[in-house]
Amino acid sequence: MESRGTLLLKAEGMSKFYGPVHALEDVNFDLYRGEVHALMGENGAGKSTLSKLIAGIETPTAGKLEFDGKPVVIPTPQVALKLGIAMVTQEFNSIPHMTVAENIFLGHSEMYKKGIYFDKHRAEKETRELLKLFDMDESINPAAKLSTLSVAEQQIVEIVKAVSYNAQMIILDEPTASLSNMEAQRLFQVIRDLKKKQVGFILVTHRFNEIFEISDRITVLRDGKLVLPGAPMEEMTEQSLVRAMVGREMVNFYGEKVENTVQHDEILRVEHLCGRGGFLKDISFVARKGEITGFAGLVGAGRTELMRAVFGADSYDSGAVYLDGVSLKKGSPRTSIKYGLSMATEDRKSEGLLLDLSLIMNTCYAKTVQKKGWILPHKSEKADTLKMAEMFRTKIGNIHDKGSSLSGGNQQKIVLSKWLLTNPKVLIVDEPTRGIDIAAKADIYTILKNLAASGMCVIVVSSELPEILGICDRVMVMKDGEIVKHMEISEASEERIMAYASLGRAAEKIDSEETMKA
Amino acid sequence: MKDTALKSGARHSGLQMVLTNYRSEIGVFVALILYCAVISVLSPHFLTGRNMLNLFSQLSVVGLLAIGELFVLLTGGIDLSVGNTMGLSCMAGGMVMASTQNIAAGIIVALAIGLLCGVVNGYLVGYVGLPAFIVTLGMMGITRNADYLMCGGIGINNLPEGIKMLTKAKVLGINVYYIIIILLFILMGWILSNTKLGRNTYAIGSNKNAARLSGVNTKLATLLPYAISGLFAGIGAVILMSRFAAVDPNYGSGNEMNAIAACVVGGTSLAGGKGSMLGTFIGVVLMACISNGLDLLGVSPYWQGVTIGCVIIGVLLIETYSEKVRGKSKK
Repeated sequence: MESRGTLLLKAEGMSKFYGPVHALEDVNFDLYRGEVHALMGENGAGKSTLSKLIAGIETPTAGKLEFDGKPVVIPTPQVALKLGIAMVTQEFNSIPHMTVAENIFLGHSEMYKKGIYFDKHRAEKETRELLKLFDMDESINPAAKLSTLSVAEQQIVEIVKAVSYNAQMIILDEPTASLSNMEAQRLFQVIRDLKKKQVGFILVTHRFNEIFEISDRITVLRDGKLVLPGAPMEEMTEQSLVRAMVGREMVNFYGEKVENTVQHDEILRVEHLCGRGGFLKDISFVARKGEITGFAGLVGAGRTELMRAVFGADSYDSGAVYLDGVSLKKGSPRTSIKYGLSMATEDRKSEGLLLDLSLIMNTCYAKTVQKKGWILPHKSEKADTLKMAEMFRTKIGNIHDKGSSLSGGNQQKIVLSKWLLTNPKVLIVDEPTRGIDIAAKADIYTILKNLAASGMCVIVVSSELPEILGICDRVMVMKDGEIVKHMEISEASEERIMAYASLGRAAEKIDSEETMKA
Repeated sequence: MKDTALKSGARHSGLQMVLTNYRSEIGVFVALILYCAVISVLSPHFLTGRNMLNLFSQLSVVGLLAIGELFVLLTGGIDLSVGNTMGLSCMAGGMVMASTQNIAAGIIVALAIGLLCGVVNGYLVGYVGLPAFIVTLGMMGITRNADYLMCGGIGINNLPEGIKMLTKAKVLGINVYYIIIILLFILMGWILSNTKLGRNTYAIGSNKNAARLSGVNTKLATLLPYAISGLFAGIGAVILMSRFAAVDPNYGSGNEMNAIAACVVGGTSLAGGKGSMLGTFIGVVLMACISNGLDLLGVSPYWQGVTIGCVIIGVLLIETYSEKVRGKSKK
């Protein structure tokens, strides 16, 4: 740990009850100036609740807060901001059709001439100065609409906004959930710069590697209770961290390799696919039965766009997709599903689930839509729902509960259940474990492996390299709308994939030199 | 691990499940009972059989429109044209009926015109992708004025006498068409919860994108509710013709608002995906009871309008508030 600054925040006996539910029980937490204190735990462990209590988004049932040595009460986010506490959430509080400068300075009263007119020029100038602090003034234009920025850049704008309020302490809730490795690195650089300026960070995340990379201390919560209070990072290992989080040892997170005797016949063939106005360039690949094919690459490499085109969620310009020899109609998920191609999309809330409808409907409707006849098979639907819930170990209350009643991991299991019921030959899963807790992750890996073992062709798009390496049989690396490299898993490593993902075919040269050396 | 889902499923069953699943229906039903109790104390005429039949004739047309409107609202759309579509169907059917003196021909034309208007709405919304509000607002303007153009502003009153039998026929002192309307409510309610048509309607209202990616033909699934709405406007037109044996170009104007209000009061969300036929039926009855009760008390129609407006907003307030409370206790 770098030299510890003075104590910035001290929280004692923090509790939050929602009726009979104890979201947080008697938790102590502290943060020093210039440190990154990671907050971990499974979904529902109370990380978000604790951050929200500190940021004034929720008020505690019990507990005391001290900020900068003085006791404080934080009833609203505005009060928190005034004290110097800012929170950057997963859902940004920003306005997409306003400029970067407007987003940053919207709440600053001194930016308004005579208290009414927003001083655009001054705001843009100050924004540029703030961005310069992080060497971002070249890549982010203060006058650009926020919607034209990448997710990572938007995230950085949020942090800059916090800095503009002179925040002493910034809470980051899953800051890298939708960032590629390289973008995350950029974000970390910003964090490191601010650490030097004695800003303290609370980092809420699921990702192990970044905790080890950037945190100084770690606190782990389980079921609303403190299990590991502020331990220095040097004392932690991945194993001890997992043990603290789930309360049991996970022998092999990605599960054993499941052997299968399936003939690895080609089942999906994509030929010369071009689309998205020239972004997807002449893509051809095949995927085989009994295998998990991974698609790696940075965010924006075109993996999601490619898979959406293959499945038919979006149309494409030219090329062809063959499933088991049959040419699939483009832009029609309906025919794809009919011939046995299913896809669980990246954004399960906006594209996968019917949040305000029942679980039985969420689980069964893709299957039922394919069936002939107009009358719903209520009985078999109920049986299917219960069968899938058991198979996936989905924690559901009642099959008539709404989709929104489930946690992220269980929602993802419902989405996968829905697709499995359509009996696909090929299943595409885009970011299968984004934002879900560790136990559910392990469950999902097991399921995907078993599916492949039973002869299905599974395609996984993932930004988490350990995940690709842990479960896939082969990897395609994409960059700028092209497949730049195809590797067997035995010859893949995080370094090699990253090299191709960031450099494209140019990595070939380095790669061959490395292999020569080896 | 075997099987948490089953066990807790059983634990939740029975009364508790009925209460959670029919929360908004129960809410409106309680309001209805309370209102009826108050009015029957204030006016001895309210709970008489005669008044009940009268009440039913008041709600029948709006009820028919509300059935169709519910389908459209569930998709997250809105049909502002139902009232005037009914007016136009009435006019077209009436003109055919008056000139041919053939009742069946008139009825078929009325139903066909209603269906046609609905299909055009549905095509423009579902296949072309225009916003429902604008499309049906346009259709409302077209049908309202086409009405006057067709008849030159003068009504039709030489419909064959036989048409009256449709609404006059009685069994056990109850008009047959009341029973038919109830059966239509039951039938369409059954369709909503037991057929693919119904499920697709809910699915596209809840999340159109997810529905499309799951293989639903979202264009067709969007069109059909509008077609149903148009068809029910046609059925409403037949009832109107029969009841008065005459057609006035003013028929139907403004009825769409009553139909939408009845759906909303019955727990239907304008955002789509939420609502039920039972709730809509109770909503229709409640709205009719309110104006009927106020009539009996001699309240001026202007105050009735104010009251109904307040009821709609009040119901939404309660709904939003209870949703918030539930949301909090859930976390």
